[in-house]
Amino acid sequence: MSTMKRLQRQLPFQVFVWVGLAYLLIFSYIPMFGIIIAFKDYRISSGIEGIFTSPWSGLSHFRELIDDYNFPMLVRNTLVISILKIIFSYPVPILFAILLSEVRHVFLKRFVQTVSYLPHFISWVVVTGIANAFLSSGYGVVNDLLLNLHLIGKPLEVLTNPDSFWGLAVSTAIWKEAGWWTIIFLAALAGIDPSLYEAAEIDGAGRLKRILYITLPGLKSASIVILILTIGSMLGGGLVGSNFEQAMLLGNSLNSDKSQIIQTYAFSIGLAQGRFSFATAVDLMQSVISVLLIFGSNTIAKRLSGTGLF
Amino acid sequence: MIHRYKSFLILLMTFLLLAGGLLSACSKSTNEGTSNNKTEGTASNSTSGDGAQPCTKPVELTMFVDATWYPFQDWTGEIPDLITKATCVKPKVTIATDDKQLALMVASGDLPDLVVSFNFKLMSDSKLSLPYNEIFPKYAPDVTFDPVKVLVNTVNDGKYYAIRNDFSSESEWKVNPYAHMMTAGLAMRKDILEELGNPSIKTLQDLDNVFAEVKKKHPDIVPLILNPNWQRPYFDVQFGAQGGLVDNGGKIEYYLRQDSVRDSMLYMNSLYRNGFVTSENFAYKNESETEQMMLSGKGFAYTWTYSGADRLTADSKGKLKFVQLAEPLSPKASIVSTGTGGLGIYVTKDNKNVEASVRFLKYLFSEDGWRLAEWGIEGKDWTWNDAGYPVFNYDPQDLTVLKQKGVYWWGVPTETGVGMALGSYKEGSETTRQGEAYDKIISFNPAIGMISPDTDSPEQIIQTNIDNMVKTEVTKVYLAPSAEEAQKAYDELIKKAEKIGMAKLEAWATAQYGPLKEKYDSLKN
Repeated sequence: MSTMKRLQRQLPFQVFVWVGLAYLLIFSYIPMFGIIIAFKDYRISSGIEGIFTSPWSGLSHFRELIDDYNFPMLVRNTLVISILKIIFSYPVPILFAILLSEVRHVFLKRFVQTVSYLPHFISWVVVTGIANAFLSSGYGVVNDLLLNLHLIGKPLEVLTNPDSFWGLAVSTAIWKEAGWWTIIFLAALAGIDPSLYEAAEIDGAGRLKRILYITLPGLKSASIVILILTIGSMLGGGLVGSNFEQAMLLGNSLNSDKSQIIQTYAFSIGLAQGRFSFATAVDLMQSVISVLLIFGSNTIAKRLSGTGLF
Repeated sequence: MIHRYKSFLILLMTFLLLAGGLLSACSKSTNEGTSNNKTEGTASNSTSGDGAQPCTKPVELTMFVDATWYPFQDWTGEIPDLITKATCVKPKVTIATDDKQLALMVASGDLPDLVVSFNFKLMSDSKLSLPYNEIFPKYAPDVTFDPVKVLVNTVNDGKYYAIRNDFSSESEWKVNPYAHMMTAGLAMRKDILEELGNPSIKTLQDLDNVFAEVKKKHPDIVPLILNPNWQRPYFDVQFGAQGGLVDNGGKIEYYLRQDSVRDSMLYMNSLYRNGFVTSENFAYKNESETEQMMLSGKGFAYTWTYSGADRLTADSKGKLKFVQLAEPLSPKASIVSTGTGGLGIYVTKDNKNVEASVRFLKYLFSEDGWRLAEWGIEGKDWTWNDAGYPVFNYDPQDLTVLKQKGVYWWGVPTETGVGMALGSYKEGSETTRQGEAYDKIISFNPAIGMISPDTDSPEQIIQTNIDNMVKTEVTKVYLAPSAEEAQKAYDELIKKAEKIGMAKLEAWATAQYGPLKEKYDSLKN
């Protein structure tokens, strides 16, 4: 069959593809030209044409970033928060989905599921307000309660103590996003053939064995695909995202040693000061690391399990 | 077959709608530009100058206000109507929705006729704005600006693109004894002071003693709450410490290096170590949060401006009363005013009617025009006290009244420092009490404020990096567990500033300062 004829037959489907491609081209590929300002001395007053006409500056912006006395701290915080989020937040939706699937009471199951994914729709600004209302050492409900019960002698400085920032970031992110991601795994669970469970039950497999030998293998493909995507977006916070929002909103001058990350640095030094070239260089560096991570994790996943994203 | 045809049609329509959406998004700004051109084109034909001919159809000028917090959203009310009547110009106002909007407008080349902005460095560029020293001689040759104001607004290309607001020369301040420059202040609870027997507070030690008494008698009240935007300035003044660049015998030094700044930082540390301020206070980012704490009775003293006590008393709606600690607390107390202004109105390169824009600006810069915009109608809204200040017939602090009349905020972009201060004068108020006492310790040196590195220049990068570093490192000085550790944290801060390039910045600033100071002194004398 000639190409034209095939195209004609597939036309309705091709239209979908073209719309998607046009979207990608206009909003994702064409703006990529702007990356070149990371290697130029771009000034905003030179307008869009300045992207092409500004003088080249080589790797000076990258050098400035690496020479910054904050750089080791920024890289450490970005990596540690991201890795902690993967370690602690990735298994939560899987476990939660398995637990929910085992609940027999339909109303309870739906209620728990709804309550757990609702925080996804709350913005980080509101979550920070809630965190303040609960955890503030001056007026937080939790501190008031613990003090009144004489369980602590002085208020816990959760929001201001640098040592508690990483824990705070991970736990609030899990609270906000784990329920949402559970939906994906519940969908994967729904795809497992029920006859497998029935057969296992006849063979005498208990609940734990059924989870171990049917549910978990059934979730393998979905888990690996999501893990690879998570690692690719790791520096932004992975599955639960929001590294930037958390660092901006929950970070303050008291916990900045642990809360400043590459993205907040790009924002405060680059964008807020109008240094677009520098901000682009900082972000480009982070994107390169992310691309390397996604290729690396895909290769490892393919070798270990035979499943990969591409 | 029919079914197939139908589904194909639906798909095609979906595609067309999406493609249409994409294209319309891309072409939106072009369409807007065209419609603007038309409006202004017609309007300009029907305008008259300086009210010489009756104004039948005012010129519509697009005006972008680069301040997200600006309380007025449009050109409505009695006062804007009168300004339009006098100038035959009606601005079509857009208020910034975020602080990057102007930068994006500049980058996309989509500029309005007028831009009201604090961003002096960005807008004072011949690629973006038209210089006042070219458009005023052409369209309003009778207008002359104060040479000191011209000097402080002139940039490297020898032109000035705005006369920024809130600046007055030293001589203007001197001839207006009722104009008190805004300074940092400390407001205290009146009821608690009375309970303590109104102790005399003449030194920082006296203040410490009062804080200690408050802590003892009211353990549930924090002796001092710091406004996040005004944490140290009040104490800096008491130590004679200045911010930014400092003249040390003709040589410019960065403020961090000053002994007075170190002493002020270490004093803040002593406040924390004595339990007069909480550590969490340094994490607050929003001043409404700390103000709320004061209004709910959680604090005794509060750092803010010289009008802090009056504002807190007004905001507490009769529940609490506050007084200002009006007298400086040390013989070292001093303030060097280095300000060169804030908001400017820039006439952009894309301006469709420069003649009308200049006419509009001429009126707002004139005494009559500015007073109408800022204070209202003379004789009706305010009267001039013979001593030299306005007396208002409405509450100038009440935003609802201001919005209804459209008064004050459209006068702000062209207000002078003295003009603004005169509007705040109120006989017997706490603000005035501190203003009078602090006037004695203020000296002027705008030449320092004129030293400003270009955007993205190495000096600007150094300054920004130091300021960002200080934001986080200074808290380590404040919250050090002992005086020795606070000193160590301060030394560490200086070391980091040196590493970033403080000496290089100072050398550059010193080289700039000499000629600027010379020019300023020649005009001043």
